[in-house]
Amino acid sequence: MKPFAYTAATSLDQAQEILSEEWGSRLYAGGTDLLTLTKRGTVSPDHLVDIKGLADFRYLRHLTGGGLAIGALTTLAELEANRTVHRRFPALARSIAVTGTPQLRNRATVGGNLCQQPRCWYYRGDFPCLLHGDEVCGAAKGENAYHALFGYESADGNRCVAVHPSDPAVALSALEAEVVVAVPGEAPVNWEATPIDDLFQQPTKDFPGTTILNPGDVVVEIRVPEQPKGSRQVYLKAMDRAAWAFALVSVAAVATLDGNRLADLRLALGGVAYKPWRARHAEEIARGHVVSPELVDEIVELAAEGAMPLGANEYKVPLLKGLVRQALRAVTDESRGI
Amino acid sequence: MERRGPGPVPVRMTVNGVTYELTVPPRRTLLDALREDLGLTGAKRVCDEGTCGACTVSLDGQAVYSCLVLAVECEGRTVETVEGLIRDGELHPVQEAFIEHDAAQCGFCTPGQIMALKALLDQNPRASLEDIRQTVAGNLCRCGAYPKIIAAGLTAAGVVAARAAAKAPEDGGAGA
Repeated sequence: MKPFAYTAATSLDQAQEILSEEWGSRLYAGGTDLLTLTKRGTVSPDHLVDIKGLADFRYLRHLTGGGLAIGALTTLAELEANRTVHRRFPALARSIAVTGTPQLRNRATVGGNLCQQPRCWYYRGDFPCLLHGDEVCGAAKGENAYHALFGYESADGNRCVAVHPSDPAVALSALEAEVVVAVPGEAPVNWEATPIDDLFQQPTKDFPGTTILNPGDVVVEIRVPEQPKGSRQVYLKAMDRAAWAFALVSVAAVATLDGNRLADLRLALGGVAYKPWRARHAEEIARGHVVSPELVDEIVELAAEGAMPLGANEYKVPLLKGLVRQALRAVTDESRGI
Repeated sequence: MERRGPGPVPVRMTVNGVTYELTVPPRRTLLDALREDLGLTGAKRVCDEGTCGACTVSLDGQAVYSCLVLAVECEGRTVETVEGLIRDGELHPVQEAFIEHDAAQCGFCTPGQIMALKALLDQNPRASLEDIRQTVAGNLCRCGAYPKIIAAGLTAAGVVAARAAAKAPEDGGAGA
């Protein structure tokens, strides 16, 4: 790693001031992603601004109305050990349990997990990448076995085809969570909550970033709303080994049943786009219908609707369909004939 | 706190019960500080990017990859490495169990495996087979010694649980 300065920030204001004014400064918390990027020279910060010690942003609070507010500096291990998360948001609990390893979860923060950089080898190696400021995305026509099925308009190289690596983001999307972003100079009352899917952006030549955050912007809280009474949740993750791997494909499902009718279904797909990919058409078709093998078949097909395999990642389409089918089985009752 | 570095800065940390004042640049990882500055080579430098677990140490009681911690962050904190597990000439139950089960093959991942399991048993003296399996999921063993590592973990868990149970009446007074 090339030399850099280090500041243990004593307030968010102090951190934001440095980050928004000093070129080459980087926000630092768990460090599990940033240090690997720095060691490889993918990023070369001059100054790390460590916000890990800001205890004001490390909490779990019950929201009026039943939801949960999670301070962005809460570690994944702390969330994993929390009984409320297990009891009321089992999809989130599961997504955390299958993230990284115990050692990584002891360090990694939930805010950092959402803001981590893609695991694309073109980005992490010395290969053509829009995030490096290069003219083209090398993965679009290159080695793309781990890349996107959705969300890029064309594989012409003008669009990044990397996928977002976070598991919790996928569960949080199905739970319709929001993130609160602190903007430098704005009083906390003015901090806005954004739907989690809108935190992410697809990198292009003109906008080579993976989130909507500007320098100095900090994700400070994640708000998970109370889920419909009686709803069931699941998070399923397919990996190329049984532990310590990023998702090839993952599925988070939240279903609310009214008798044998699906009153509501939310399906978020991971490992297939630059953000958690909501299968909106499948959700719409499911809503209000009686659960049947035919309906399940239709949801499965619609979840993969519009998939654009890149060449080496065609296997993701049947994998996705299989996982969606398993997820539906888990959140509905098997006795209904699925 | 104010800006420190990029040149060497003083950092005070406690390692295996001894407080040290190191002078290190902010870019130095805890792993390199342990190995290069303190001569503690139990934690191994293998992948150096958090994907192997051979550098696992305990930081304030939690297992972490020391290659993904900066030494400068450890100001005032407590680090334990495999060298610090011996107490009054006695090995830790996890170390004893590794010998009993012959759980080291090439031995390179062993200090990391031991520190991961030790942190687990500190936090949960009644760790289950599943807890042990999940714990060593963060430590790669390419010799494939996992069956023996997991068996050693179970044996150690039994010893630690028995000691905790023997101690409980004194501490709590209520007995079992």
